[in-house]
Amino acid sequence: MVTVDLALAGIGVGAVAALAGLGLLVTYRATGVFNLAFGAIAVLAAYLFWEAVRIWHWPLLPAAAADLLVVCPVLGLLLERGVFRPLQRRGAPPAESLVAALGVFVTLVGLVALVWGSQGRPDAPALASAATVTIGGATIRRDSLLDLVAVVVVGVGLAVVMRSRIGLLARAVVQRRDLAELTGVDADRVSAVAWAIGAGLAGLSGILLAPTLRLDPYGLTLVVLETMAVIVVARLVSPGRAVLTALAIGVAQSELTRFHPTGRPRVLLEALSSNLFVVVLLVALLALRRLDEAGGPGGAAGGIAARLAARRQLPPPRGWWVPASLLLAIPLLLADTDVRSAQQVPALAIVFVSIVVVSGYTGQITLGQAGFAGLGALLAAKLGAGQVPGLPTLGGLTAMGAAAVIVGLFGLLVAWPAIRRRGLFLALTTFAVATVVDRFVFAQPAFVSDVLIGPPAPFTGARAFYLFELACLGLALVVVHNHHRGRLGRALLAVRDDEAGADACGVDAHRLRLWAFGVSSGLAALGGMLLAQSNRAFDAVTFDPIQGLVWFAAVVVFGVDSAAGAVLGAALIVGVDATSQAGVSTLVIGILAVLLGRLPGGLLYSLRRLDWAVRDRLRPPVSGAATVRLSPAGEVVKARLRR
Amino acid sequence: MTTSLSLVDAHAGYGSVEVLHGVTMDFPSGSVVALMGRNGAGKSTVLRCLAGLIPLWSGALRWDGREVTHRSAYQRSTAGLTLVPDEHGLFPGLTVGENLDLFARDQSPEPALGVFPELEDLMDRRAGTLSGGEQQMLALSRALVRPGHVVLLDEVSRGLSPAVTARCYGALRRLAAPDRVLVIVEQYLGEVLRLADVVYVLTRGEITFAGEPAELRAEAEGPGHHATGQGEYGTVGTT
Amino acid sequence: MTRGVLEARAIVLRHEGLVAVDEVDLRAEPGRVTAVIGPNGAGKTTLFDCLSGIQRPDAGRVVLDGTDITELPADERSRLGLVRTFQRSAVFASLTVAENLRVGAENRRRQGALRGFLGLPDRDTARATALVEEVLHDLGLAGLRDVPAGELSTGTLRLVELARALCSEPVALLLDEPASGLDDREVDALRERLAGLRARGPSIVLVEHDLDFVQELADVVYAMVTGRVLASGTPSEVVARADVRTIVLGLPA
Repeated sequence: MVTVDLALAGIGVGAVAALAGLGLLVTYRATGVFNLAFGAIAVLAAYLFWEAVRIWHWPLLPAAAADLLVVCPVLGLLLERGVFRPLQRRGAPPAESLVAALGVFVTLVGLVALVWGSQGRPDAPALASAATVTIGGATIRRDSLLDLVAVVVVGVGLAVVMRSRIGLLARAVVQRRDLAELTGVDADRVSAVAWAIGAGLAGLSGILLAPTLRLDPYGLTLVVLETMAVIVVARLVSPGRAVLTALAIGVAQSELTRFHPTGRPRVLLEALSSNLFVVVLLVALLALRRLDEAGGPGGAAGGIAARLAARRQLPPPRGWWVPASLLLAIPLLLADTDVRSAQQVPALAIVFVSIVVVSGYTGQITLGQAGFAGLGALLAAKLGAGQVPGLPTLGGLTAMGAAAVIVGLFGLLVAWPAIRRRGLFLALTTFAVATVVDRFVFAQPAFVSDVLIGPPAPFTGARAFYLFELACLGLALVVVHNHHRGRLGRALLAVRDDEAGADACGVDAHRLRLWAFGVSSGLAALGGMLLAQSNRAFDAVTFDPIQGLVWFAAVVVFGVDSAAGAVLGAALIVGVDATSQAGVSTLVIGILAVLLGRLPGGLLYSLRRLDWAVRDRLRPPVSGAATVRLSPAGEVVKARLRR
Repeated sequence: MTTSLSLVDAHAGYGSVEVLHGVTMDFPSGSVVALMGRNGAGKSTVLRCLAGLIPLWSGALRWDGREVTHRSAYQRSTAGLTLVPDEHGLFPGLTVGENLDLFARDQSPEPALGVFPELEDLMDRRAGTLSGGEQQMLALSRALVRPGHVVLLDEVSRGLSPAVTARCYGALRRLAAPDRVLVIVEQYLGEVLRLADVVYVLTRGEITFAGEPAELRAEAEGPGHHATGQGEYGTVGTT
Repeated sequence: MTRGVLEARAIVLRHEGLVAVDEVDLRAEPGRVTAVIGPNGAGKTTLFDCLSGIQRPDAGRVVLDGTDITELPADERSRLGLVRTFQRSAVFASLTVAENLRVGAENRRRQGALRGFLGLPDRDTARATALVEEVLHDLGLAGLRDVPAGELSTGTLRLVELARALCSEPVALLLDEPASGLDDREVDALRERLAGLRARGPSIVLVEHDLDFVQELADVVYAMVTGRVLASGTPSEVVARADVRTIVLGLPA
């Protein structure tokens, strides 16, 4: 029996989720770009609204109008014109659009955190009060009513537009953009309008959600991202289904609060009722059939991340490990406080190389490393303290080893149903897993209170622990190296470059993809443990799912298939944050990721490729069955010169 | 009034692989140009460059003397260029009627229905559910409804029965006009040689023959007969 | 003992309401070249997908040397000796030519990732190295061994893919438009190579548009149109038929 009042209470949240989902769907269907940044646009809009109302003392409606009808659409137009249209014009693969969207996301979130701080604020202005109003015997809150009215207006408006001539043009652009242009449809204008509308809707959902939650750069963004559940269930195609799904989940979340079991089930139920969206997202991603075909680019054969990786495997420069070791040894000479900040470098580096193994070597985007890292940290601490029921207390080092293996197996277990996904949908699945882990484990006091974390004996001194971390990094690098050389290395790259071709050679692509996930989660766990140990505490913020997105973007920027790049990247990020302000590195990573389109293969690779291109010219020409064409670097340069 | 196109020393490709290695072709006003060659030689790539779907890495495209190398596909189509691609020539999720509506814009779909009356009965069907041949007829309707000044056709006869192909070529013959250029890509020799004024043969991204159909026939019977990969089966006039 | 008898029995595959492959029977025997011709969209590549395991047919069976392999995944079929190349040249762009071939040579048997993970040396390296060297020289690719495959021209890519397929020691070789994108010289060279290969044993099935090539090389020809086999037999028989000439080849009646 559905309680009407509860249902109406839940409908507000559902309506906002529907708005966010519609905005994402409109952008995706009209431009083919899965705009991950919509969560960040929502948060930016919410903060701007707060700034206008609380600091500049604007009245509510003008502030909202300026934000939603001017700022957000303009932002959408700028993004379309400045970031995504050039990619579209170049015929860039969906890979680059996804990373560019991620870059925009990271940049905006970084900007918000830098300007307004990462502490949440409880005083987000609300367009409607929480006071209730009674209509026909049912009681509904004013703000929920507003949300519902908004989604009805927007939904009906979109439906009307879709049936009109403009709608016909938009549908044509959506189905075959090239052909639409050939038929005299201004596809660029359609995209621009779609982006403006999408950004406006994202902003609206941010403004409507902020009062009921908190103004919080990470938390609010995450909630908006969870609304991806509704468009996944709609298979990225049907707006009607998206709206209905959103409302249904909103109502279900509310109805769940009716039940009050005692003990353990109550905790689970509470977690479920506040996180139903992400649970639905994960279930939908794992269970729905033929999701790839419905969506389109998600199913692109050949792998999204494959396109981001280096086209030519450059051998590492000779003797590179000498300056690298020297660099890593420097902190040993510094003061204690500096050594402590430096302790994050090897830990983060291990997390980054774990991403290299799975995304760089097998071309599978993982946005969920934060989940595995956090699980590793938690599990190692609990095993070391004997807090895991059924398992004995393990010594510090043994606990770490065991935790890494267990999380590795967990990664395998989670990957197994997810592995038939490709590209975009696999990425979303990893993100959903990390979010579920965050909500159902990291956010649960039952699991994270009473956790004692510290460096394992006998490495408790600052320098001693740093050396221990370096040893762990060394071990991780050996593992990664083993996956890059020999038969295994070649097989992994084969799976990345052309999975069908790999199958045709007898390489079991399916099994190798799973294996990569397992190894990667184990390594991430190791990195996570060290991160927590260097902080001497388990801080859920360190392992926030959004952080996982930033980590992935960072690895791509430095070269998704470069272990050396990953280590360098970790050092730079920690260094930048230590010398300026926490959060600056996020902004820098975001901007670099947006510019990445110009630098496929990452920063390090692009620099080295220039060097190699020069050396190629100096080498004598090779003889063979056919002449070798210009190397990619040469062609890029040549094309640039002509423009 | 004339409409002539020239492609000068065009280099283009996909990703880092160059497909056209310095192609120079002239499409004089009022002519029908046939572009032939093996699969993978780059014929479709030439059409896509002319239409603006892929950028030239180097070289130039001139339309009536004006440089249009950097104009977008949209700009070229509004200026009167129509490309019927070899695949994806219609909107599968829209109905036949909606497709024709889009193709014709403000004009009547009559010219297409005159050549392909079969489409009349299919007006409310979703284009993606039509058979291969019916889809090709619908795709070709674009050229018949708004031919513009430059008509590019990629493998016109694909999926069509010989009778329908004949109707098609009849319509194309009627399309020829002094201020219009037709460029037709075909894989197999046949009807197109009867229609063409100029023939280019493309091999591995380079022009290996440029001249009149009669010259090509002569060469097809001679030692260079691999040019089009047709050999004796492709020579027009033999059974 | 004959190895490499590949059969398709009444294969049916539907896609989005249309029948892409419609009750197709095909038999390829070792020591013979079987060609499949037909216009674009006739279902040739889709048939290959069913034979090689990329797609499962809705009905019908694929049989290799008497074993029903219809339900086996593509990589298992490759290890059984059924190797295929692709229309788009599925080479590994970031690996060198030699490494591409090596992937084919060293994955004849299923091997786990554990050895690699532990850093143990690979088994069987001598055999793989020798095979790669042999094929590199056979196909004239020795000079390009260290060039990353992503930097090669179309013609060379086809050759590399063929070389890699040969390193898998196939008993049945499926080649999807191997001559596409090659110039006359390369086409002749390919034809000779395939003729030599035929003598050595595997059954060769190819999809091709180049009729000369097919006429001079193939022993058996299947003509397909809209998913069905219209005719099969020796090249001269098939191409002489009026329906094949008009419908499949688009020649004037």
